[in-house]
Amino acid sequence: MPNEPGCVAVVDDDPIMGESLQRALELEGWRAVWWHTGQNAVDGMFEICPDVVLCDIRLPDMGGEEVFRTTNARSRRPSFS
Amino acid sequence: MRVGARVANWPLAWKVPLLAAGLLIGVAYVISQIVLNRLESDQENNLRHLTSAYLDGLSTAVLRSAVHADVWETFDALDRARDRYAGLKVRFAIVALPDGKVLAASDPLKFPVQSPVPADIEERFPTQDGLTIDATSGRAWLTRSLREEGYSVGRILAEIDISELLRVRKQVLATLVAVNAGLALGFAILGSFALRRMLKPLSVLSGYVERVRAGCADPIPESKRQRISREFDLLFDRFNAMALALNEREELASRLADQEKYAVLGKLTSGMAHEVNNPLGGLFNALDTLRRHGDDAEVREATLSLLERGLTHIRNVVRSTLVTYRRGSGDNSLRPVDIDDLRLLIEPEASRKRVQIAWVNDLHGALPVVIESVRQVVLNLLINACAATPAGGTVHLRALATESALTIEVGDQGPGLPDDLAKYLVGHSDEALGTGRGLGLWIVRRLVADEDGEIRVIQENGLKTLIRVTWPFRENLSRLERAKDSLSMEAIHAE
Repeated sequence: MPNEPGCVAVVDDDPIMGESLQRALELEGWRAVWWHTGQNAVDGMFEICPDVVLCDIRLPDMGGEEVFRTTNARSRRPSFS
Repeated sequence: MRVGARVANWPLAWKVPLLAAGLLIGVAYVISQIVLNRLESDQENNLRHLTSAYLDGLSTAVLRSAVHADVWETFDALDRARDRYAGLKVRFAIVALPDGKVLAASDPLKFPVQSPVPADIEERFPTQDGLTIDATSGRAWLTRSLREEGYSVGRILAEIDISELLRVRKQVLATLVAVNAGLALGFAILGSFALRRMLKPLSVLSGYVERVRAGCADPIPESKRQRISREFDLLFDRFNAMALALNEREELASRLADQEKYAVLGKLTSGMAHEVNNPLGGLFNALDTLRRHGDDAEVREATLSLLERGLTHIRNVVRSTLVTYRRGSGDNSLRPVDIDDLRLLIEPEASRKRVQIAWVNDLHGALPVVIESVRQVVLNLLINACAATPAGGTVHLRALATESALTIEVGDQGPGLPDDLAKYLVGHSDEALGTGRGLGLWIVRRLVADEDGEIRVIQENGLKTLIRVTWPFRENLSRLERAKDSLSMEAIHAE
């Protein structure tokens, strides 16, 4: 049974950065999701449970640290900001 | 009322001489009346003396013959009296008996002996002894009773021609009117010239003050100050000092506006760096993808498209910054994209403040307004709106145009603009100027005023603020400026 690819979540409001990261990660064999806002990330995090989260520090609705604090209380997934 | 208002608008150089002439005519009229009354009184007194002397002489001459009812003697006395008092111009004289019949008359054909004195003649004479004057007909009538030992023996009735006296009176009146009118007119003309000469510096000053009002504070040149009084010399000195101070203030304001423009750039720099840096990181990712997976045509196409979009975004941000901060572009035509560009500049700041931007741009085609000024005003208002709006709030922008003006509204959800700043912004008060706050708003007010625009501040329950700025199109402005220039030049040349 082949290994299930890991899931990486990208949280960034910039369309170029978000799309380029998602595309690069997918080409490297990862399953990638892209959330545009902090709230999308907080909501999506509990549904998808990504293995790694790459989060921009400055988002339109909340900071990257706030996204980390909000989700970290329920999940122990590693996250890079 | 309208005539009064029109007269009130006449220049002083006309009003004062006319007023002086009017006063002169009034004084002349009063003096003429006094002179004429005095003349009339003197003439009447002289006439009374003359007629009294005439009646004295005549009554003495006819008394005896009247007692005896001697017609011939009485007629003879009347005849002699006519020759003796020829200067009195006696038209007729009648000696009437107590029963009202004519004893004798100077004109026996008109007043036959023993005929009654005609009623229409009788009624002209005074009932008592004395004199009645009728200036209209130029006649005077005299009556004297003839008495002997307490008994009435008859009356003397005489009509005198006084037209000569009236002619003299009319001549005097005509002379007075001519002399007084001539003097009044002469003094009015002289007064007008003198006053216009005296007020000439005031006209010059008024012209230059009008130019200040139109925004051009030129000092009064030396050539306009020749042969003026010391008071005006001092006034011109003070005006020139004021014009100098105004020009210095204008220069300072211009420098401050420039500094404020770059201060805004400073405020936006970190956000704009983020706005450029983020896509740059994405572009590097795309380059890396191309290196590793560029052989795949589909990946190559998609990545190149991503690169193009990222570079276009960066170019737009840089172009928008350049347009806003390019000095004196002189571009007097605003396109819809010039407003949309500002969104690129303000969005990083809004993102940093976690404020949403609601953007409605209803502009179409090029509009004749000063692009540099409009963009700086809108950017300042957007920065203030972002600063005032709490995180999670929304800043609104709406741009629309009518046939004659451009209107841009910027709204925020902040606690409301303080009263003093709001009043300052719309030009109702300068109190906020000394508090050191609101330099950005000061720039907004100045730039809008320079273009003859209008600012309105609409506060909703003190919780939201909407600032509406309207700029008239340059064609309208040009007409306004031409009218102002024409007005000020008229004032200067009204000498």
